[in-house]
Amino acid sequence: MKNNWTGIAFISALSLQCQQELDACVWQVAYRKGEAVIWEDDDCKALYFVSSGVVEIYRTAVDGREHTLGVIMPGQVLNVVPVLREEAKNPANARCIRDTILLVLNREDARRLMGYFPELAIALAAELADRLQQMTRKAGALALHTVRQRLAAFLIAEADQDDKAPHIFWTRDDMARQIGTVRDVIGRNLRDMETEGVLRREKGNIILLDRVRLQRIANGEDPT
Amino acid sequence: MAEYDIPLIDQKKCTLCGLCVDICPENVLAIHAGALVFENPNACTMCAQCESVCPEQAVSVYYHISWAEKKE
Repeated sequence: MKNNWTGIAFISALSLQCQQELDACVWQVAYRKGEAVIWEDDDCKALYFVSSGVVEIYRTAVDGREHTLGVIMPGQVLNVVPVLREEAKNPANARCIRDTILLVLNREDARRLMGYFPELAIALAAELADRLQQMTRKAGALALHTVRQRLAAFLIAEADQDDKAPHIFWTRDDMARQIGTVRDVIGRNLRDMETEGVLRREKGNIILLDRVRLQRIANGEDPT
Repeated sequence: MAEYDIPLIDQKKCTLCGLCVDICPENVLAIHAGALVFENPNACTMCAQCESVCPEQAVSVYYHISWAEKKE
């Protein structure tokens, strides 16, 4: 195989012939931290496999505010939706939040290969299903949960990340974009949680102290 | 020094008011040639006072989120 597929578990489930065809069609592109991969509403050109690094998917309001829809980690796939739809416009923006290597498969090759290899289509559908489940949870949280609840859930999810996943360092602006608020509100809620003893902030670390209490906050069961 | 070991400065938002320079207990920051710079980056303890004091939200501290280690 001419490309490095290590860490992209997706491919190991495919037949050897499919893997080889896929490998022949993709090419590797390196991005620096902060570089854009795709822009919202541009024509979809390709599908991307994250080989290393981290990509943030976000949308922008007319006033410039951004909301993060998701963070794509190594082994995951980016931009599946417009590859599968007839209307091939990118639904969101994507930028690298770390130095990143992507394996790029152009849209025409992706659709052609899915025709020859239904297993590829099924694997991509599974990726989409996972993403849709995350989005469903997120939409529910945005509609029904307070910022305090969403922040507690975010902190738990981040701290629970596998040690093998790349460490992400978050500014208050990054956290605000993730959970749909502004940086000042993040600051206030972190201060409150610190006063309550569920977390501690020291030297660039947010250290979570009380999982039970944090989970209760995330579930809306905490009366504070 | 890793990029996450010092705060992020948005130079477009910075008005060079100098409040962060004054408040920094380790004298990490300075204003030189019309820009806010890290004069002493290795001394930064990520105390985040610069982030708190900035009226323009031009300073952002990076945070890593983790669980406290259990004590035996």
